[in-house]
Amino acid sequence: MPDTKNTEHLNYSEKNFDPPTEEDFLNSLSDKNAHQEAGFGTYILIWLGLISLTAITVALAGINLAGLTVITALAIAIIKSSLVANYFMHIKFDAPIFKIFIAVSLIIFVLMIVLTFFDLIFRN
Amino acid sequence: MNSQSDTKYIHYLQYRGKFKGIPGWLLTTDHKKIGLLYLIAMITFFLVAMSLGFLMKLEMLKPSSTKGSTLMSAQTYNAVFTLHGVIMIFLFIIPGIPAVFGNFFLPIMLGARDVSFPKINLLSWYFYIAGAVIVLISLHTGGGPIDTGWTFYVPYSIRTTANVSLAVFGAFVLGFSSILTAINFITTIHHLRAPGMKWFKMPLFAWGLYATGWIQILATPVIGITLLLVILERTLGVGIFDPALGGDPLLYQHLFWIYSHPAVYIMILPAMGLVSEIIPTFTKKNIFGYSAIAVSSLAIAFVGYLVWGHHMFTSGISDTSRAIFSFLTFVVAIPSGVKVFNWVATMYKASIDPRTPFLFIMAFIVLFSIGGLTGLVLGALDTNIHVTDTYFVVAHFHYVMFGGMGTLFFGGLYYWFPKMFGKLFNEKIANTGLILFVTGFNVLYFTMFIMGYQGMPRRYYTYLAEFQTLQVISTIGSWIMISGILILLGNLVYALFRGRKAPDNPWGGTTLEWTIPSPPPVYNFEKIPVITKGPYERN
Repeated sequence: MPDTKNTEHLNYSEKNFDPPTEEDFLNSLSDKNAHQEAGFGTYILIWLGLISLTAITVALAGINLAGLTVITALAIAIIKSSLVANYFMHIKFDAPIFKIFIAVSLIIFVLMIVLTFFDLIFRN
Repeated sequence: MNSQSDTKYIHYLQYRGKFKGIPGWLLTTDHKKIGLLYLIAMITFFLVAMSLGFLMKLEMLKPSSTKGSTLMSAQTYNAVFTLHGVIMIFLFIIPGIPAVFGNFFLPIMLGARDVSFPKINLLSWYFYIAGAVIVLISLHTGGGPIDTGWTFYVPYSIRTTANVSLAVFGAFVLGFSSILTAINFITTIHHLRAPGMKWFKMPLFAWGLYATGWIQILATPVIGITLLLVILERTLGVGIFDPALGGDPLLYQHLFWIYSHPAVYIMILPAMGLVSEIIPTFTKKNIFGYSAIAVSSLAIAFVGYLVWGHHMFTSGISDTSRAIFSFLTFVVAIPSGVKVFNWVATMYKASIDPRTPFLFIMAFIVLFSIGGLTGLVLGALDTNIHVTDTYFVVAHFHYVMFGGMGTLFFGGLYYWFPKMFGKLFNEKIANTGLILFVTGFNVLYFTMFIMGYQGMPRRYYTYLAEFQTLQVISTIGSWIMISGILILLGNLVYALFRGRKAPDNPWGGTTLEWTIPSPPPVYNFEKIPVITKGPYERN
């Protein structure tokens, strides 16, 4: 992911008329433009959290929760995927536009599911 | 910047990079050359699929008697209409306008020197060709040409002995081409607009491509997974769709149309963007309702996701969802209507210059309106039951897709041909070709509305004797239409070699592509322009 807080190397068109050079590109990779992101310790914690949630999922699979089984499994999956997206995929530290992209995608996904279930639930 | 053409410059067709000749084309990362690579491939596929359509109509000249078939057997007819559909839909209509004109003109219209990811752009073309080659191989291997219709409906597609697996894998590969092109366009629109070009100062063609890009990214993976599941079901018998194994065939239809209905908007939104480019040029006016047209593209893209169930009204889905999908189908007509009214309002009291590209727009509005209004007949639950799976549906989507996107593909080619190749074409011949095309089109497809209403089912290789008069008229229409298309294409090929040199701005257009020389220089702009006014504002 490019560093969206410091986008001088991308917004060349607003600064001057020349496209970015190789030097600009290398600068964009250097330390001064490094991502503002979580530390090593946080990643380890998230990883441990994911492992624990997986363990809970496996444990719950053995217990009969009747109607709650699917809901519990999905709830855990949602927590896990949001951790991965936010930390490992850096969405938490990226520009708002990426959050909007993901929100739009999620809304459309939810609508697809809801509309499909209008068929399944009400079918004779 | 018109003075550029007086000074010597190297245009993109003259430019020799690292490689010459064919490798120079096959390894190019110039968005304009990649656009031309798509153009060559697409015209080829279009002509192949058109020939298949010609054969289908020829078969319909006479009903097959009990003594034997006329031109082809039932099985051959099944394969022919499937191939006609697969090639037209997946290789021409869906990628058509974005891949050819989007690639060629989007960066220029935004004031950029290329798309954001030129190498990925070339990779998209290779995915496109690879997908096409895989489909081609599937015809001659395994159980032979696919015979399921372009929708690959289960359970038949799981049980037929035809080579379904390889053919749908070809469609799966084509999806990558679509997604990568969309990522490229969206990134380009976000990052490479010229200084001063705010969102609402972008040309409307770019808005069309932007809305299309989002549909391509969000919907294409659904069909990709679905087609893989069909392959898995055929090879491993996993039982997701096959009722004999506990699967649900309606699930396939849901998943297929969750992609394929939005795909209809992938086909039409860039075409509508093209209309919004051509009308201001030939009315010499600023477009009426710029923001309404721009936002309606996004609205169509969004609502277009929510109407897929109208393809399944008679498949056995629940009454509740039928009512909901029927309602949403009527809602999607609103933003489409917004566009048409704005176009007409732009033309109102304008000093219209009815040149060839503008006549294509007139043809489009008439044909697309007939297609759109008959879509309402199909979207209403009661009338839908009557005409489902008849020629009425076939006529409707040919009016929408071919009359819509197809007409504008040629319209776009005629509008931008002088810019792309720096040559002028003969307008009288073009107009003759267009008149033949529109006349033949209506004779061919309008009779299909009547036959469909009378109960002629689609996808049959023969018919009852009572339909013969209309079938013959329809077949004659196909001959008129094809001769029109051949004249339209032949005229451009002639112009390519013998045409007079085109000026930089032959039509008096206001968007950025008309400010650079014809054909465009290698990197489009010597200096990136600064935008101070709207795309269609005149002095």
